[in-house]
Amino acid sequence: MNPVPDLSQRTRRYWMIDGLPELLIGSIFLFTGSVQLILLSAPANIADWTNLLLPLALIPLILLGRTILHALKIRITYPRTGYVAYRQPPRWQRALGGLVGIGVGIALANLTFNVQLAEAWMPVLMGATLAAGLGYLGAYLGMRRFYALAAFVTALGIFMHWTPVNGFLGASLVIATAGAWMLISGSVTLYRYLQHTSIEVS
Amino acid sequence: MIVALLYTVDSADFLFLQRETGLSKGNLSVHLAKLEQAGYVRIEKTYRGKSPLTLCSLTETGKEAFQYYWCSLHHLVAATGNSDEPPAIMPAPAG
Repeated sequence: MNPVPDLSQRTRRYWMIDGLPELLIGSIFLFTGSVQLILLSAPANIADWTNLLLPLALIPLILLGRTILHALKIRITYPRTGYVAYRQPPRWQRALGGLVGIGVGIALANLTFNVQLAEAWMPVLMGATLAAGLGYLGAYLGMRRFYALAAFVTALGIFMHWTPVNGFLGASLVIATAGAWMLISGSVTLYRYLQHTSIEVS
Repeated sequence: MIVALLYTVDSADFLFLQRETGLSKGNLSVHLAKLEQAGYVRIEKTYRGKSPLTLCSLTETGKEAFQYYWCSLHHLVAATGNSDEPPAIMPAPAG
């Protein structure tokens, strides 16, 4: 058995030990899904503009979330279970990741607006996309609860397709539900982490 | 174990290493001091706010030594015919 990949995964998993990153990702998903749900009931001209602005609003939100996460880690996690600085991936790897992200975004936009994918399939597409991301995260960190969430959003997407709540409304519900699930699982993880650890006195 | 853990990260503090290895403070201190003497580990004592922080990281010598150790171990296992794993020039993991 090669212990190094196991240790690498263990140290990567340490980042999620307190549930805080899950709370951050869940909040962003829940915010995005909820805003989309609200916009679906807004007048068309307002909804169009806000739909364009939403991705731009997400960037500062993510940056703010990272800052808050860092501050919380300093206050909660590092004094209890220690600090780890992870290696930054090489620049080409980060660039490749960015390109893949842009590619997926363009492909999704193309599927939505140009290919005229039947609107009823939107929840399935959204569920499958989220499941792919969550499945990757599960494999990268070796955490089964992300596989469970991936299976759940896939099933939810398919379920929404067959209900009257399909189309963009269903897709937004899939995002919001995934966010709510992550908020719950993050909160449980944080609660258990705080129960089982205490601040170490140097 | 300490070197293997440090090999997977950029740096880690004393508390993290203690928790992951299950060693006592004194025991871990002795191990780290010996690794530092051998030039495998760099220890930086600093502060975060008012709390003292002991940051440990592997030196280049430490990384090379660990890679050499790992390759040797792998070849030894391969020679017994019990290895079904890919061979082992092991790049330092990123991320």
